Amino acid sequence: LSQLPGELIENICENLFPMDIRNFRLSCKALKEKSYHQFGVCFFGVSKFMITRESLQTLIHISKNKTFGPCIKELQMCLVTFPQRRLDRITGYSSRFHEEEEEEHYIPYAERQRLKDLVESNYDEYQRQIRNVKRERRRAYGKHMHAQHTLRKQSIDVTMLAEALRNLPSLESITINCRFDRSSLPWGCRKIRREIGMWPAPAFTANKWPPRPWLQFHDSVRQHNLEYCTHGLAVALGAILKSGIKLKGALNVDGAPYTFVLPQKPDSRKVDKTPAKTLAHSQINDLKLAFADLKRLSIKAFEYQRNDHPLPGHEEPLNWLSTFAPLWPAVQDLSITGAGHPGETYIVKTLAKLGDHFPRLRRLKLSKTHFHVPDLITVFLSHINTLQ
Amino acid sequence: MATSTEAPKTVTLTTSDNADIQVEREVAERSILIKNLLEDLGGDSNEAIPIPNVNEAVMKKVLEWCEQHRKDPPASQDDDSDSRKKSTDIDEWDQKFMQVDQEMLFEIILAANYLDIKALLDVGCKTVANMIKGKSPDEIRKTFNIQNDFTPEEEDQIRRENEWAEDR
Repeated sequence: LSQLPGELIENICENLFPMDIRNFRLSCKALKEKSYHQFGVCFFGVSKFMITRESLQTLIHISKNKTFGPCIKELQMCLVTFPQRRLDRITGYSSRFHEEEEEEHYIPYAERQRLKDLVESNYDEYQRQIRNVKRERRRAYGKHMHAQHTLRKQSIDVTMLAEALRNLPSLESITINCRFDRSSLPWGCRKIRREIGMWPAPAFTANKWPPRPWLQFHDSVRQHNLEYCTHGLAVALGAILKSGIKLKGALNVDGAPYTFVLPQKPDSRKVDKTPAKTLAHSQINDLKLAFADLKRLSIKAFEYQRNDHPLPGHEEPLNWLSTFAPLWPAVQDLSITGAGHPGETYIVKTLAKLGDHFPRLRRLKLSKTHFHVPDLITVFLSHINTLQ
Repeated sequence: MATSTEAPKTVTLTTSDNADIQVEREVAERSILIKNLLEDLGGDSNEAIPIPNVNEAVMKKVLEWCEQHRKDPPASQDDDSDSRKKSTDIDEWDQKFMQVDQEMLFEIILAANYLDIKALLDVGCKTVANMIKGKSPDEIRKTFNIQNDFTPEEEDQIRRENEWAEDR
């Protein structure tokens, strides 16, 4: 086996799962060398990061690695955030209740065992240690909260992401994701969990029923998440612009805001949630080159609810599509997932008004949304020569 | 005028050990290499095609596969997608076909690569991948008779690299 040429070993490795590749490269030196690229593709092909200083720093570090940097084909930015309200939920405990109900609070088993022994022998000391743990976790949470705030306010996040993008020659697709899968975590997520005792919060607020006591602040957290989703999208687009890369694969936005408010000009002084240095409205047209060859576009709306009246944009959901559509002339596959709000008829109406702005559109997917049939027919007719 | 009873066209392949094998052109053309060679030589050439990198035993085995798959549609662009990968699915006939000793298995893979028969190459690689799946490094070494040439320090470093790649 070890005598086979590298290209064939790579072909074999393409059929292996990550665990098998790990074991395979431990078998001998020759196979380790010949499977190195596939190891990179397997573990870095789709790479997930967060908009935190440490995670972005790791991304830059990996992007500069001569073996692993070129393996990254898709970059997923998981929008993990630290709302102030969540600070109150930090405890020093790792009770059974918390673990089972929230599956979030976390203390390693050995530590839990030590605390259990301690509670039996010296209850006061146990209480003191729990208070210390809580203090440490709150301090760590506060640190993350402020660090992320600084990244945003000073546009450091967009600068760091742009630096990484410049070093990724094989990058084809970017995904902005307002949630993350615990079986496939973004870089640095586990470390944050160790520090704050629970998983960091994704910028996604699922409906929970029955209501739980801490959800009384639901609306403010949702407002925070919406703002962060908007900012995340601006950071990704700003970094694409600043890095000068061209995306040939997909742009996926999960958690897209109905309205995408940006400062008017890069030198605008008005204080917004997203600073002018990150991305300004006047720069949108400059993204044309970056998206000239983009083939797939997927937009999934933020989880708006029927009673979200205080949240902006209900009147004209995804109204920014009309501004962005001219940037995406090569899109063949367009997928739009709504939040199920009746006002979303506006989305297909916008597409209908755009005419043949997607001249190569072959596949259109609409999910969980509302539309008027005449609008959809207009969209079909505008793309009658390409839609399959 | 050609009739439907016309005998199928054949070609002669000369293997690395100088054996001549006659085979129907349609079967031989499962190999993109042979197909291109035949096209370059012109339609009705009777010249033997030299296959210097494949011996008679392996060539016969490869042609047996080509015969079985002579009517398969040619590989499409979509076959390159990731959905093709990581599948343990191998056609039942192919599974039996691949039940050979390891030396022959690797020879078939090398021949499929040289002759440019993508589908056979995929079946061969998947067969080897299935032999690796779920095995520890030691078991992989045992299965393929590989000598562990790592020093304990080197092995440790790879384990650390493995962990680093996965520890998110």
